[in-house]
Amino acid sequence: MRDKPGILPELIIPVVALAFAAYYVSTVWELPFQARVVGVFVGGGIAILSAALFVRFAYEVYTGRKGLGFNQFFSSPEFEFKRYGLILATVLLLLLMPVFGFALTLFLYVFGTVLMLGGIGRIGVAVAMAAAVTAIAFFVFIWLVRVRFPLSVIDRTILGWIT
Amino acid sequence: MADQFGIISGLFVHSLSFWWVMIPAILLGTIVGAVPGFSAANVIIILLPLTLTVDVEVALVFMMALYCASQLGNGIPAILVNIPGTGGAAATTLDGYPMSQKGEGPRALVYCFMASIVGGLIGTTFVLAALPILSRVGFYMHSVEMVVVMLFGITLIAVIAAQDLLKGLLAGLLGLLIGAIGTDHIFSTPRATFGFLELYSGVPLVPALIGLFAISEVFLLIERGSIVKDEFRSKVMSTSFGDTLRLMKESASQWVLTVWTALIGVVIGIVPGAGASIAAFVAYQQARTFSKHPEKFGTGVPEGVTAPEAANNGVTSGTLVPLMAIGVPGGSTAAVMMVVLQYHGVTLGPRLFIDRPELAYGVFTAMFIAYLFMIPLLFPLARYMSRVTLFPAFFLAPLILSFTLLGSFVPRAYMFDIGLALAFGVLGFIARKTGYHVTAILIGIILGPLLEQYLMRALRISRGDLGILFSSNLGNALWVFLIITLMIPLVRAVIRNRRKETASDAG
Repeated sequence: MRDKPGILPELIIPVVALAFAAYYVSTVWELPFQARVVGVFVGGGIAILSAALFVRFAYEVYTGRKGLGFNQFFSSPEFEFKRYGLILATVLLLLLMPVFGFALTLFLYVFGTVLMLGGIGRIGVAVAMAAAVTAIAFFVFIWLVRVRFPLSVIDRTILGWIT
Repeated sequence: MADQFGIISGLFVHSLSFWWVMIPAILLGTIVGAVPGFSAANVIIILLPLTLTVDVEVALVFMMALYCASQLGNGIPAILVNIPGTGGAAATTLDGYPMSQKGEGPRALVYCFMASIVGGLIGTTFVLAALPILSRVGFYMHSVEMVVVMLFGITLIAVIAAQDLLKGLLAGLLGLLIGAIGTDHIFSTPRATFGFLELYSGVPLVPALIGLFAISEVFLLIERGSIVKDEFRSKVMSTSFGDTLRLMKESASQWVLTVWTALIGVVIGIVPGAGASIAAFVAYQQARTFSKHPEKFGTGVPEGVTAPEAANNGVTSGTLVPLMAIGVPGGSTAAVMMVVLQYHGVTLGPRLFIDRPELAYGVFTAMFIAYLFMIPLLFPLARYMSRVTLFPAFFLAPLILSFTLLGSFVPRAYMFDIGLALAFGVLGFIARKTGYHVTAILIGIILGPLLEQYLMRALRISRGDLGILFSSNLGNALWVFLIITLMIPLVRAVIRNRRKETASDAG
């Protein structure tokens, strides 16, 4: 039983697509025909395909080819920890960059992700990579291309040294 | 005619003298193309202070070389790490990345470079030879014809879905619906924006591309440890320059496919608003349809790299046709070039070919020479570039994540877009883990809004009458061709089955 792949992961995309189609149609229902035609037709197509998939999944469970649950979707706890860690680190990057600015946030992000993926023993590599990535990214995005990333006192000080 | 030939021949020699501008522009363009979020247009805008101060010919040669090289550079990360530099290289991932995973990264890169360079050379030559005729193509391609061209690209969803029709079509439709987020093209009413002002202008392509390909790839890379499977590592390491030369010869054998798909790129590039993404998807669909082994597409066949790369480099010369011939830019890069040329007092349009032929034709000769310069500059690097695939995940993942996340911020400068890239990354990861093809989602996101735009325009003109879609001769010819290309795989399957039955009966 444990070797059978679980059916629930395969339901995620159809369920998300159905929910999104329902939301989409609800937002265009009152609009003129031309503005809602794509939503109605594509949403209808999603509903039909999702229904067909649900029937297929039910048949696969019924015939014993697949089981219920998430079996074979998640990998070992080590890899899952790293994956969730990367998502968390990216969310932190998103939240902290407007506060701490470009250079510091990016340095901490690269440093943290290298340590998380490579292990605590690679602290030297993590520092070197974080410094190199931050320096290159600062040079390209802030100094050369002048992309409007949030800048802190640290960034402005570095810019002052360079220019 | 003889005068024109003399001018063009002289311009080739003249363009060669700008080698000192072309070489740095090619190297910069290749890097720019390889970084998601950056485009040739962005970089030319950034370098406006430089291009506005130098001589107009130098500025033009620099922009041309950078533009062509960036189009080629898009394919490098698409092949090596499954991250297309722009939507134009998304179709390249379909076969390029599976080749890298099998240790055939150097081979895929050589095919990519060869198709890009030859495609660019063919496109430029074709445009130079047929510029007066080609400049009229834009007049014949109206919204009706463009609806059919879009459908050529969208049918690729069905091709991708061949392994699992229900999942493939659902992924494509989800992409089409995501592409329809934002205000509609006629009434400007917001649709499905979740209340985010940032989505009023639609889902930005770069964060979607980065999320679906780059971030989901990183999530999967963690489990695999490295891109190349262990048994193929020595294959990548042992590739020599002699192998590169052998692969160049091998890839040149696909000249028919390269010519055909490069011309598709030129014609699609001429139509204002259309671009490399459509050309690449249409070319891939065509290559698969007319292939002797269509079932192998998607598993890592060189034709799957050649077709989209030749097409998206054919687009580079096509895009410039309406700009030079009638003064209408065919894309964002052409629009920026127009600004630079107008600043230098150059008036674009038919008079340019009479008043300043050295500039009008010089654009294309410079492009031709730039593609020639790429041969000695880029082919020797293929074997070194492919070693990226050997790096361990703990090294590669933070690099990919940090640069692509920053790249997703660049086009619009919204922190929201970094979050959007992450959301698409999670969606892409779940889709790939459960057998829903992310390329089908991306095709929907790229082509969906364009299809809607052209369809709405046609329906608006006809006051809702769908009969307008069959009202033009060119459009009807394209419909027939579309139906033929859809029927060919079915006819082939029937013939194959009959042959098998006959063989088994005889046995």
